Amino acid sequence: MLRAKIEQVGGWAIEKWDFFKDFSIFVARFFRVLFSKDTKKGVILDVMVMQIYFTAVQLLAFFLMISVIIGTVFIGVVLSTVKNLGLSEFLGDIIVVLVALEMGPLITVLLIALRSSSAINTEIAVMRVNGEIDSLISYGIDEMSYLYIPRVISVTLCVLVMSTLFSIIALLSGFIFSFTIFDISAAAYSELIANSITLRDVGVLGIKSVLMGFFISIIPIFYGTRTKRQFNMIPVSVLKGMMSVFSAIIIVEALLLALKLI
Amino acid sequence: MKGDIKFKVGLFLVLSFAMIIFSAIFVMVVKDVFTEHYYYNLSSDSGDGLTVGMSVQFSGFQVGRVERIELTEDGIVMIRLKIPSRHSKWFRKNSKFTLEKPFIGSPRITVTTPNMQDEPLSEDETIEIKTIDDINEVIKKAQPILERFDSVAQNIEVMTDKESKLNKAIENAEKIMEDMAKSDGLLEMLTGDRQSAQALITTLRALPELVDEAKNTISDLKVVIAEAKEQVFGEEGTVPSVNALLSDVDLKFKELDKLIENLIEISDDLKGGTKDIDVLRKEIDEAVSSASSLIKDIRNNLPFEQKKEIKLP
Amino acid sequence: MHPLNFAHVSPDLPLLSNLTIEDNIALITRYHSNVSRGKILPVVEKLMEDAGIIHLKGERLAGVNKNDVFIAKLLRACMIDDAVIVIERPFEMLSGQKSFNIIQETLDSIKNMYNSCIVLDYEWHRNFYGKAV
Repeated sequence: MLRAKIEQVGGWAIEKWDFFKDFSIFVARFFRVLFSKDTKKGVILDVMVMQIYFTAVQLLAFFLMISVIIGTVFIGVVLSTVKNLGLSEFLGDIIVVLVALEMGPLITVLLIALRSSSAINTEIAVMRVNGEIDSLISYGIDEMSYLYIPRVISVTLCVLVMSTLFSIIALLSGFIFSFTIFDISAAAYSELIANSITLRDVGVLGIKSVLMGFFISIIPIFYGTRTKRQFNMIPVSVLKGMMSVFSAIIIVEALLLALKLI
Repeated sequence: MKGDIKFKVGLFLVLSFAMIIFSAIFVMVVKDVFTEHYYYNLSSDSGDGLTVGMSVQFSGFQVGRVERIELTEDGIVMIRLKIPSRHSKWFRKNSKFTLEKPFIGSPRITVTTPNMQDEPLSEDETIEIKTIDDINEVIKKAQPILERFDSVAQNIEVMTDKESKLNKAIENAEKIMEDMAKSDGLLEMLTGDRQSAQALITTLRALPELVDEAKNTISDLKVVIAEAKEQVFGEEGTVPSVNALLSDVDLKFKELDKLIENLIEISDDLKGGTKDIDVLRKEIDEAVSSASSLIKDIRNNLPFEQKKEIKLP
Repeated sequence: MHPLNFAHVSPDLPLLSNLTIEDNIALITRYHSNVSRGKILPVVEKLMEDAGIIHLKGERLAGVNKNDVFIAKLLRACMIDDAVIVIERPFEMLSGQKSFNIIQETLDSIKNMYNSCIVLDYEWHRNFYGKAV
């Protein structure tokens, strides 16, 4: 009985270790191919354009609307709370840290993960089950350079650009509340925000966006490639992939927070 | 791939990067990255509360930041302020610099310039900075209050101790309340004895009768005296014993008056809940017994029938 | 012989469902020769015209019948320079066809695009080939 339990734990640990090892190999191969001279840039660019179109351009209107609404409401809540607590002195810092550093990347990543990560996971899983990846391989097309690299680069780029856009738009729309609640002029508001932004903040925003963008694209791809050759395994692959995507988002957030505190 | 997809993606990327670059330039302009700066040097004995990037304020407005803090070989802290050229006019030779550590909020360096017509402050000069520490001031002010709080806390501790007077008083009060709940009345509770209370109640009930009896006796006595006066102060002369008796009676009258007053007082006291019930009871007993003996004396000493017999010829 | 000269047409090697028919055909050349889409597209369109599937331009796999998909696969294989085409189980890729004629006609229409062609099929499909075998 006890032996069986221990075996169960051991089996679980080996399975997890194998998964981690496979993922590490996959990521290592990704970078090796990315920086390889043989990688064909022309086709990659076309795939990237399509991926950016699906990830960012199609989402843009909704994304802008969300960033205005959330930015306005959130900054309004923060401003009124700060005013009630008498912490007006820290207004700029609070807004910059909460909106630009925390909310911007997080909401962008969640929206893109919700839309594109699940789509990428499904697409790769379908291609795998359907034998389309085998087709590519049989014609000497490296699936890593043709399918995976452009998707990861595009999603990472989109997260970086869109989280920066979110921060800018949210901060701009926050002016409406600062004007009505605090009666702050546009010049004073921009000075307040600009003085609170440091190069380090911009760096943290960039690193966070790149890391999150990378993981929310490479994880669903990895799960897609591991799908068993049965159509009913596609939803299972997407389900597992998306759970791992959300875990990765939380881990990156926690790691960066820990780094900030150290 | 359709051409319009490429166009849309290109437009998105161009506009996004343009917006990001524009925002970055705007922030840099507001942060005076492109502005000419003046650098002023301050010195301090301690670097406590000083941080790189902390605000330099004039009349409550930020006019610059601390760019660098250094500890020199001779142990003095050198502070370098970075001031945009448009704010350099506030820095004059007579300017005073204070490091303010407010109780709430971050520390800041405040510049005060009493005379704006003075010469501009030179970048080569080093001015000593003063420190206003609100936190320590508050702690100093709070110290005696804290000490008083401490003694109050100690007092409360003593008061709430198991053996404390307060606790005992509460215990006694509880006991009294219990007794009140158990016993028949206030008197029993006060005397602590059921029999004493009963006796006192009986005595108190008898009091009005005694007073009435005394009053009746006195009125009788008055009649007797009037008769005696007639008989004794007649032409037949005065019997010395009667005179003595009368003076004695007069004395007794006074005592009786006092007694009545005492009785009335006692009854009032009792009504008001006099604490010393035992003493009261004794007084009442004494008063009653003396009243009885007085009446007895009067009765013994006044053989009215005999007086008639003494009738003088 | 360059290993890529071997061009496999098989039911196990489908076209990519997320690309149009012409992009599927153009992919191999684009990838290996790093040619832009604009340059390769006229060649592909000419090929499609010759094979009689130009009407599939802009279409994706979902809107195309099995016979047309087979021809598209054949054209994809032809994009390999000097290709040795190996067609595996062709009648599995064709719907309701029991004659080699359609395959022969397509191969004839693109005869300049490949070196040679080998058909691999089951013994019991021999009669489908008629005089060709």
